[in-house]
Amino acid sequence: MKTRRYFLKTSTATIALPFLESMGFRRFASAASQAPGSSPKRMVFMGMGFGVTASEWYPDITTPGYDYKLPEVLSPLAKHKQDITIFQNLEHAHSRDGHSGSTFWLTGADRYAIPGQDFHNTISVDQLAAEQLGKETRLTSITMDPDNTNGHGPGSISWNRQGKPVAGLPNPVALYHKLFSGDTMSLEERQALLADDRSALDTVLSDARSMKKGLTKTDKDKLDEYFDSIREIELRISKDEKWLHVPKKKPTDPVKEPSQSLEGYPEVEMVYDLMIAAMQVDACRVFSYRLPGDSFVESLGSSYTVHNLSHHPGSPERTNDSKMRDSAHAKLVARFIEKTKASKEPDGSTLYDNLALTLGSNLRAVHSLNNCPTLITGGGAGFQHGRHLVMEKETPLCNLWLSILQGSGVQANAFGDSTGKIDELFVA
Amino acid sequence: MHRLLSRVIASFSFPSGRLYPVQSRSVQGSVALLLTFCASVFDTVAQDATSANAAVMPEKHFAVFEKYCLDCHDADTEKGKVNLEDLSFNIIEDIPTAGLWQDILDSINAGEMPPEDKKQISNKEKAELLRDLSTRMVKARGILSDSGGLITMRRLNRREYQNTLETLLGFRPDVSTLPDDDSGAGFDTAGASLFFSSDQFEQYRATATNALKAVLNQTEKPKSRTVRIEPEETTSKEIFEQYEEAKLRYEQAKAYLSQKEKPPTDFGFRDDAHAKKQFNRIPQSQAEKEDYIRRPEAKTGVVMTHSGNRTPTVAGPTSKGGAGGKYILRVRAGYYENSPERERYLEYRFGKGARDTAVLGYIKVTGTVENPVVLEIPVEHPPGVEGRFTIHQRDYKEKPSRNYINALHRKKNGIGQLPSLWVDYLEVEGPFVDEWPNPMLDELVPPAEKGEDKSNYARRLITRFATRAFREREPDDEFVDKLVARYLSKSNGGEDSRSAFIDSYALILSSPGFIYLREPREGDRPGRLNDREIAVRLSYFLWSSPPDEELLSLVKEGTLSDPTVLRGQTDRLLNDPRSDAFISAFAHQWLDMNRLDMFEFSARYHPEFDEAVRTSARGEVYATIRHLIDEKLPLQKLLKADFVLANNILADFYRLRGVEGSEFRKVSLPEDSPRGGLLGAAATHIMGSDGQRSSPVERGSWVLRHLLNDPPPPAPANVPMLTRFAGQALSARALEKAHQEQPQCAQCHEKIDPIGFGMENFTAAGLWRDMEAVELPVPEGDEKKRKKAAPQFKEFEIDPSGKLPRGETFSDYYELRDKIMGYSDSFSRGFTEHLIAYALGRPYCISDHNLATDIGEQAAGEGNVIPAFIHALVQSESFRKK
Repeated sequence: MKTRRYFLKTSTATIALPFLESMGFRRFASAASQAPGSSPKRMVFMGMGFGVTASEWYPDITTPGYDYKLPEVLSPLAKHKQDITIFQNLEHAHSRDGHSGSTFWLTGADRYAIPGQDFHNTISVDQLAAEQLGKETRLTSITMDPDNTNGHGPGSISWNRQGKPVAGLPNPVALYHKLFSGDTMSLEERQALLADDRSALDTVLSDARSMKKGLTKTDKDKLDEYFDSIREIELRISKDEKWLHVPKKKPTDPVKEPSQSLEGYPEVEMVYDLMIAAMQVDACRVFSYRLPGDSFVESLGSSYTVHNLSHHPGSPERTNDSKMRDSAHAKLVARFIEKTKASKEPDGSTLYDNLALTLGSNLRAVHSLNNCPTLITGGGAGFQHGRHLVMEKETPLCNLWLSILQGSGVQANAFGDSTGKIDELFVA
Repeated sequence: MHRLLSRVIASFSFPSGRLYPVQSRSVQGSVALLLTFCASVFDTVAQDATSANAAVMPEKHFAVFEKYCLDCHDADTEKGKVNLEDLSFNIIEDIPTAGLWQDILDSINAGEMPPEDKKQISNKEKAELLRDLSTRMVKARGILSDSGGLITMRRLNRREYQNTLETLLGFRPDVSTLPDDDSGAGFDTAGASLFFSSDQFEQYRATATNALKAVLNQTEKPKSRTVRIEPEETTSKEIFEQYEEAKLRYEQAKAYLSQKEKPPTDFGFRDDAHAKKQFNRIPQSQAEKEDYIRRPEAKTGVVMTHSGNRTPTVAGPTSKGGAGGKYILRVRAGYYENSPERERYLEYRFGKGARDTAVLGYIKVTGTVENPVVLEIPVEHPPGVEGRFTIHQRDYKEKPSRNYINALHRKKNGIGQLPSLWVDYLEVEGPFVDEWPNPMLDELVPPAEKGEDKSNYARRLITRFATRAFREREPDDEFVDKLVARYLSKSNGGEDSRSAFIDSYALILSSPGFIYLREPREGDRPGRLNDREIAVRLSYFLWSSPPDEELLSLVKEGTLSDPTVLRGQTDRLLNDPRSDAFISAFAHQWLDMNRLDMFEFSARYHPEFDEAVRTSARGEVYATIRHLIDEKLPLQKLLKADFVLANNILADFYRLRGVEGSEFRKVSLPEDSPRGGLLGAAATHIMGSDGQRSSPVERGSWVLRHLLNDPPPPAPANVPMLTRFAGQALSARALEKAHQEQPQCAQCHEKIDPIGFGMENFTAAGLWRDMEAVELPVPEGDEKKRKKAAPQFKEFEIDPSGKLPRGETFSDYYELRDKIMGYSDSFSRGFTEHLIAYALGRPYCISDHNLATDIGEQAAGEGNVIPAFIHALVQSESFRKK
């Protein structure tokens, strides 16, 4: 019979439905008796949009390995030099969008892969990871998107299995409510609301089915995007229903509702704090963030837009402000490292030990797409840090994504145009 | 094979610079489909190998291969599996051939081949090879990606969704939470590129729900009222108070600094530095305020002085959303004698916080402070949106610009920028309700008929609304059944009838039947559009809106496809103001006008430029095209005209006299004016700049792409910026010389740059100049000092001579403009190709060659007026095909 499931075309990789009272949740109940090394792995991807001050951000390329001088703009990370790895020569072979620092950063896709179509994308590394790591948590993944495409490019930083953009949360307030705010409605009311949403989806699907007749193959592919969208919402509703009975957990260090007026630097700081809080209560394990651009540099006192800053070569003022932005990001990552090192997991390890955080962009500076700025930290993927890794020219950035996936226990044999994992990362 | 095809097609846009096959690429899409459609493309090529759809490399370049490459890459050695000896010079011979040619282009561009230790290709040979190859690769990409005219079903883009909701609900709803479909590449009508993201359904549903609520939840007639704001009681009073406070603080600081015993906190200061800072800073801002409070008119209104870092704002009352509607702003104001013309404008806005307000427009104050005028500004308050109307003096958007100009004045007069305007009061009157109850209510939720039960009533209304929303397609029974069931369950559950209808209608407005423009086929083969589909395609083409009653009645009569009727309707749609939606969307995307907003301008370098100029510069382009359509003037007037379309702001900027009022109108130009047409339009010059300096490269490329229909190959990625000139004051022409040094750059730039040089008499902001002023570099470390000081310039003579692609030389801008008139056929062709893409909702393909030629010929026969192009396209077989 033609049930709704029939029309919700199953893709090659079925997204697993979350299990009620999953292992992850039970794990919490018995946290005290937990064996070492059993803490969940987590990933964070911070996209810097227009990139960095290329002449200042990278260490001297002739000094690979442990013995390198940390560049001045990264000096806030000096204390953590042993905890970070800075790469050179990673890039995506297919990147050609000089204004898109995030659109293909986590996917490595070829925008023009489908003839006659001027946009194409594939699943991003965070979403692939979330398919496995996100099964056991209330939120499968969190994408932050402060409504600022400047330097990030179209869509999102995160792309689902169909290569469609994953919508993000606009600000720390929204993130706070998603994570921690209590429900004012009764259980019955919330159940009724979800049921009503399901019936709404069921209704529009009947119209979608009636449209299929007479469509060409490409038309049907278009309509399938609609079915895919409905299917994703259904999956989310299913998950919501399963978590309805589980109250939201509060972190041990209580977090307050952030102010609506946070912009730029304090906004990023707050988002980082909330991400850490989310890890502490294990509400989510995969995070991505299109870092704010214009408002970020404005909060640092710059009068330029990030686009103007990206055209810094030749202008001392723009270069100065561009460096200031780079240092501010380094400072925020240093703070992230400190806070996650100070936060203990039930098995005695720290959040830092189980985390892989990447700060970077598809764009280096101006509109260059090679030698993408890439800085990685955290012990989660089993990486050995403290080095300046100068790779062979044109090493696929996807090799790093594959290394993070495999190192974090996510099953993947290849990712994007990867040619293999980066072995250096796993040996000191 | 598919992998290679996609790489070939893709990499034409930006060579990736590598000569290795890319490994383990994930393959998406249907290989079988691709193979079929490649085969059909090659068939077409074989049948009709005209120059338009061939991509053959001249044989002479084989000599270069022989000389420099065959040692390693002949049929025997085949180093790296590359065999150039047997390579076909027909690039589109097959996919691997095209792929290899792309690799050749990339590796020579990147300097990877020949290897460093081998004999290098001479600059002349290299430049010629690269030039021929890069232009042919662009062509090859076009041939290989030809979709053969297949149109992909498309959804409404954001503009169309908004217009369509407006047609259905009777007001313009807020759609800002929907994704913006202007991706900057191609048109926002191209179905294949309009995606549906994972949460878009919810976005549509929420947008539609809010819009429906704004209409259906009106219960009481909104009361019109008039609120007058007397700024002497608000804004002006605050300035007096600030003056008194600052005076007191200054006295406190003075008292603290004149003693040593008591701590700073006793005087209200955080610490010593705080007190000192106040002591030093206050006198400067008090000078401004003293100038303010001494003015008697400051006690009866507000003087638009430079206070703090911007002029004062007068705000109307805040409304908490509600029904919205038409309002009138009434402002009594006057300007100061001797104030600059450009500062005599009031900017009016609507919004909530300082950050969320949108500029609605500018109005020039025509009376003096002694003889003020009362200005009336009609405005609209969007329904359901919380906010207020505000006015203040036109000023720079960026704070550094405002502060910089103010500091310049302060240096001269010890006070700062003197005020230009005084406002006596602001009156906000409204909303004006045309009809009550809103006729839309009866249209959307008419009462039940006698004896009609709830279920039948719901079914009747839902079917009616869905049919309208689906552009006269009957909704599916199952869909209606489910909507009726939802309505009944909500209504029986205690919800009022209107809320239940809001739910049903919002689902209709988020369902695929509404969102997608569907043109189903009868069988497997392409067919012709039926009359209803023609009406939809035509109205979305020219109005970005659904067909109106008249079009639909012709559909019912079955006469719309009659060529005469169709022609009449096309004219009617074009003459209707709703066709502004076509003009702005098409022109914006055709001419890449998103570049207009890319850079901010600093008053340090371009004090005449501000956001009002930017908005008006955009308006000029749209208004000019409107004028050409209305007056049946040839398209070529866009290349050169003896008139401009200007409003008062743009006329001030262009220094044209006698233009009053903010609407655009035709202004005749003297014979020696550089203005008139796109080449003289400020918008073009702004797009060809980085906000500070003009860019001959951007301008030359823009002219090639949009006026000469000869787009240069895309710039190779990863080419380093020319930073070695940093710290030197060089003219634009001298900077571009660097492009001549490398054959990789020279092969394109020798065509691009000389055109841009012809436009060097325009500043980055689009003003005429005789000399090029280049800022002298500041020694490092002095950035802070520089921010405050006036910039120091070195002046260069401008050499505006150059040449066009066919070799015509010109000695200055005027000659350039005249000689570009010689390319008017190419210009028409480019316009036609873009029109086809916009109207049909798919990229222009090489197989559209004959269609474009026919349209061009027909239009030429009718004097090249814009409507002639549109008629020829609408009457063509392609427009009626699905």
